[in-house]
Amino acid sequence: MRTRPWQVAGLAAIALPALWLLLASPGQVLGIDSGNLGVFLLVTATWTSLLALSRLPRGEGERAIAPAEWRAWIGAGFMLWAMVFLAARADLFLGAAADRHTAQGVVRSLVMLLVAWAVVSQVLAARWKGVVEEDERDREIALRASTHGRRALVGSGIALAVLLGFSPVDRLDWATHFSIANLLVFGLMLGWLVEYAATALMYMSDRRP
Amino acid sequence: MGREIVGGVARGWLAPAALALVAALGLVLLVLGLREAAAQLVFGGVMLAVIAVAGVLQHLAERPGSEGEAPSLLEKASWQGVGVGLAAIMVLGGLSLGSTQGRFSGWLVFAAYVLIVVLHPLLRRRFVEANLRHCDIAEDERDRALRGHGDRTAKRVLELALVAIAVAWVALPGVFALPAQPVRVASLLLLPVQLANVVGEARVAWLYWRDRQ
Repeated sequence: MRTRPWQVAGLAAIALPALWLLLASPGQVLGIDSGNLGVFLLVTATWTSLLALSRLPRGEGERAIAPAEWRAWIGAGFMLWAMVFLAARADLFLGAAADRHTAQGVVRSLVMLLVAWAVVSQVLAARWKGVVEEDERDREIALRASTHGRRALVGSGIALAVLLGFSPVDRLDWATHFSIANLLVFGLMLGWLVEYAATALMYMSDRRP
Repeated sequence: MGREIVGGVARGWLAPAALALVAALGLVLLVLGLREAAAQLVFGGVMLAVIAVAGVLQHLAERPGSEGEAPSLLEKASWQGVGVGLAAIMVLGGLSLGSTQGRFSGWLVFAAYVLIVVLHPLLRRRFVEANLRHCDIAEDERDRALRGHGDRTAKRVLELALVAIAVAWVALPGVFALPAQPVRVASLLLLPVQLANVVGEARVAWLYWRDRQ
């Protein structure tokens, strides 16, 4: 079974408005909450892609790419998306007015994203069933990427500590407990993004002749 | 010859004596802390006891393995990393618990922290290179793999610690009143980084030890 252009166009017609709704967050569209509508469209696009993906035969290109590289690209994509989404809604998390009730919708969307990510990973894992998934090269790349991720995580932790330690007290109104907790989570996501991106890039440079 | 034997005997009893002193000091601090209900003193006492236990473990682990193989320089460096990291945790934890009532100089905390975090890997490399014998290599594939395992463990610990702090921060907002004591909060944020380093170094040291048995 081959992917037809109209199928790709249909998928884009669902996914692009979903991205716009989630990132631009216009409030309400046709009387429906834009966050919920965006997540609904995004999940629809993800499920449609999964259905198409599970029916596609494995091509030469796919065979040349290691399972860990697939996972890294997907992880990097989801993490980048989640970070941009979180940054776009930063006003709900940072500042004295921020509280957990106003941020509930964003957290719900992120959880949906996490579920979609887990399902995509499972579908891909099923496609690699019976194939050797890890060798010496994979392990070495994973270790090196983990080191990069750790450095990013440590850097973000130190940056936050420096920010809080050296800022004048009267300029720390924004730094509520809720805000700092969210910044810590953002730092974690940065660490994961760096790890996934480093893994994907190392595989890519390794494949080059 | 005679001087070497005397030096060896001195080194032989000096380390256990120092460790016993550290443990006793920790016990005294712990008792004082419990009597005065001062969390920072209890923490300091517990950390001194942990440092003493880590010292004993190092002493035991650095004995020759089953085939008489002595610990490598990198294994010794990992143990040093554990010791330095535990001392840093003791200081940072004490600060975050309010041992200086939040009035401690932020510059001093960060200068000390940078000294430990940035300079320690350089000092470790220098220690290894300075003690290399003729034809020895500083690091091979196995060393890199073991170090990688340690780094990975440290990353996971750091992730868990940051999540735990984030959750505790939201669940118990009364614990840290940020605007009044930013140095305490900054110290608390640096604490998991150091904790993760210690766990990573300990894992590397353990992997080296296991390899020698």
